[in-house]
Amino acid sequence: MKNVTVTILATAVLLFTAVPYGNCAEPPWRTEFDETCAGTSEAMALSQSELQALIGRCERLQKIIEQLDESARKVFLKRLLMCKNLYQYVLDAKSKPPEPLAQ
Amino acid sequence: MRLFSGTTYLVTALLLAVLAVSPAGKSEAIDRAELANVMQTIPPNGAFWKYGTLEMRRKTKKAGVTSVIFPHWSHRARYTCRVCHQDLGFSMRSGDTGITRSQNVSGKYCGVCHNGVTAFSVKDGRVRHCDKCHTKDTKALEQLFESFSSDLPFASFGNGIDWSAAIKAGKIAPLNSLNTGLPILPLPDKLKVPMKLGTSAARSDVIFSHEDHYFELDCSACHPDIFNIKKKGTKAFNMENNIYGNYCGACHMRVAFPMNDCKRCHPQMGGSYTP
Amino acid sequence: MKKIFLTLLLLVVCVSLGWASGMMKKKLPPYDYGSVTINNYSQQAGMPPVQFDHWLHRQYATCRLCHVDIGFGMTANSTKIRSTDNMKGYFCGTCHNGKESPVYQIKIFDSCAKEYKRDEYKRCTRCHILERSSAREDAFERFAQKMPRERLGNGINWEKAEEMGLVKPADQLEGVSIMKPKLKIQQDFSLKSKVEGMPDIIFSHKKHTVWNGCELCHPDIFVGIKKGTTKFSMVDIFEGKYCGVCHDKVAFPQSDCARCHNKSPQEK
Ligand code: HEC
Ligand code: HEC
Ligand code: HEC
Ligand code: HEC
Ligand code: HEC
Ligand code: HEC
Repeated sequence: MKNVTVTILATAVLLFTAVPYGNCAEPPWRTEFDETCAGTSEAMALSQSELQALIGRCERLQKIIEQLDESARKVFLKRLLMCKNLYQYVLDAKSKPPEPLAQ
Repeated sequence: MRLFSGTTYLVTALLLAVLAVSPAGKSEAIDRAELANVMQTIPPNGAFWKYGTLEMRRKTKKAGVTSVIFPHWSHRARYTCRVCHQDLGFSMRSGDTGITRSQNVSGKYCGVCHNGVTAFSVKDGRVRHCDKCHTKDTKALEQLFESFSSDLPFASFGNGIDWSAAIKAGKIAPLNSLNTGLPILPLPDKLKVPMKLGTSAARSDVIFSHEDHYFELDCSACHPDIFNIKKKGTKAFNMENNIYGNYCGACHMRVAFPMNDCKRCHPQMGGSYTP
Repeated sequence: MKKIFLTLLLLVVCVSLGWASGMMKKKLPPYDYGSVTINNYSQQAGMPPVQFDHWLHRQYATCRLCHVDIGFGMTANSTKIRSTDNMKGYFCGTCHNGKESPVYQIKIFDSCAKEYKRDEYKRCTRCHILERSSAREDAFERFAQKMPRERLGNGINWEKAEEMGLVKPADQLEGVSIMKPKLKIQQDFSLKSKVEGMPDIIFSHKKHTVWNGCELCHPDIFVGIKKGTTKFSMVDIFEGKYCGVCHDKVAFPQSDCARCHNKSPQEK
């Protein structure tokens, strides 16, 4: 458990330094959140593996967000789920083969 | 004790919530006393000119001015129901619209037409005409009704006018829009055939024509608030509820021909209502 | 005691169901359309309930900004806003923080507080509204006067107002939104009305995405992953599902049939 958190934090910190427009005052999980959910606007353009990776990141992020104080947890859990569910929706839409409509 | 007060609180809250949700706070649109009042005032017990003529006094009373008398009959000869109730936003429940003087003056509600161009203005002119609407004495209105109705086909109920016959005979030609370019839906073909509404006895079956109603109204006047669009989805649709101002009674008791004119809807019924 | 309460509850529920049919619904005046009363905690804590007006806020923010980025739920009272959330700068406090807003260039009054003086209580009652004042109606009238008219709902054609540049709702807030590139656009499509002669519906995915963002609709409101897989009918919409989540509460109401059913059957 601890290991996972550490890895996530490490990746988050890495990402944080790599992002040019990152706000310095923001905690790493927030930057990771912004990164992960920035894809919602172009979800249809993402490949299935990209979507899967993003969903994975959402799931890891969820664990961190669940540790936050009540207000932040309420807001960001909702935002995270909206974004994760959309990725899942688009992934489903893409992975189901386009069958001819019945009737 | 604590439990008790908690429960009482909850029950009160619930009751209040329900009251807030239900539009009239009772199971009928109008209650017995009000119905009795309606029955006593509509023809043949009251004057033809008074049918569909409203007294509006919610705002005027507070402001200390004479209440407004609004006759449907003089307006429906010129415009269909949908112009006022769909396009201009007048509610079909009296008192709901909350018309104010400033709205009228700025060209809303009555002021849309009463602007000095289409009809006499809501603003005061050189000749004082406030009392045309803030009417104390209805003599002039009665006289107007006499001359207005003299040439129109007769019916013994409601306004004493058979409005649909008047339209069919070309005596009146109400406009269906104010040419504001707002879309009007076409009536789907399958609704052009009159519907037979079964009742408990074949003799009292009702023929309902979508098309006749569509001439005056839009779908949304009835759907989904008054009639659901599920087939047979309208519950408790019976004569008693109608009379208390629900379903057909929402219009056919106050403005459109009233329900004592039985034969208009139940064509096979012999006699008509005798008071 | 409990039994009495339950019976009463049952009675009340049954009666209220019976009441709902066959009558004209109360028509909301234009200034009340889209108004939400938020009262999960206020009255318990001795404050009047909160009145939130969509008409006032739609000029400042898109649906997406509030309902996706700030995180307000799509049904009244679902968000469970606490005064502490507001004080920490979430929900209403995102904007209502007593500071000069860089986007709107006005000072937006602060939201809740733990302690307050008599003169500050005035501020509380701008949101925790004791009784409707005619000042709000007048403010609405003044605002609506400048806007392109529409017949129902707020009596304002919001789409046109935005096109004409009369309202410029912000879509992103620094520090709140994920500052992302312009949205990719989905294809528009038409929905069949299934009743012969009833005009089909043109649904603009494109416009709705700009207003709402994908995640507000998918998968919460529309689960179907292929066009036509979610079976929804007008009855469902009338009951407040699917399109009816927004259309009858905030976006133009369902009584404006022709605004959705606008593709003439001939040009299929
Ligand atoms: C300034 C922020 C803000 C904006 C902008 C906004 N909303 Fe809302 N909306 C809210 C809040 C706050 C609530 C109440 C949530 C609660 O009570 O939990 C709400 C509630 C709702 C509801 C539920 C209403 C009810 O009566 O159940 C709907 C539907 C809705 N909004 C749709 C929209 C749409 C569509 C738009 C865009 C035109 C929009 N909102 C724009 C803040 C906003
Ligand atoms: C996107 C930013 C934003 C959010 C979020 C927001 N507001 Fe506002 N609100 C504004 C702005 C801007 C004004 C206009 C302020 C002014 O004119 O001084 C305003 C004005 C108001 C007013 C009018 C007060 C008056 O007296 O004129 C009320 C009431 C209000 N907001 C309530 C709320 C409530 C309740 C919430 C949360 C549920 C909320 N607002 C969330 C931006 C916001
Ligand atoms: C911008 C609008 C706004 C203003 C201004 C505002 N509040 Fe609130 N307040 C809210 C909202 C929204 C809620 C949540 C309402 C609910 O669900 O009952 C709330 C809830 C509360 C609650 C009860 C819930 C809790 O979590 O404790 C208290 C107490 C409260 N506010 C106090 C105040 C006081 C005191 C002031 C004035 C100093 C104030 N508020 C000003 C919007 C506002
Ligand atoms: C206002 C709500 C709304 C918004 C916003 C919205 N959609 Fe849709 N979407 C719909 C509806 C309605 C359907 C049709 C569903 C049906 O027929 O079952 C649909 C269908 C779809 C489908 C399946 C059908 C198809 O066209 O292949 C996909 C995929 C989709 N949307 C993706 C998106 C994406 C990505 C976005 C953001 C760019 C988005 N949607 C924004 C309402 C919306
Ligand atoms: C918000 C947009 C919208 C509005 C407003 C609207 N409709 Fe619909 N209507 C739809 C959609 C979407 C469908 C279903 C399309 C489908 O089946 O995929 C539909 C379908 C229908 C159908 C076909 C039968 C059925 O049950 O699905 C009828 C009849 C209908 N509408 C009548 C009306 C009437 C009457 C009004 C006005 C009171 C109205 N509609 C207003 C969007 C709308
Ligand atoms: C998330 C909220 C939301 C949902 C769900 C939604 N709409 Fe809308 N819609 C809006 C908003 C906001 C507008 C802007 C106009 C307004 O507010 O009156 C709008 C405008 C429209 C318009 C007029 C603009 C245009 O495209 O010409 C149509 C038609 C429409 N919606 C149809 C639909 C139909 C059909 C559905 C269901 C399939 C639907 N909407 C679902 C929010 C929504």
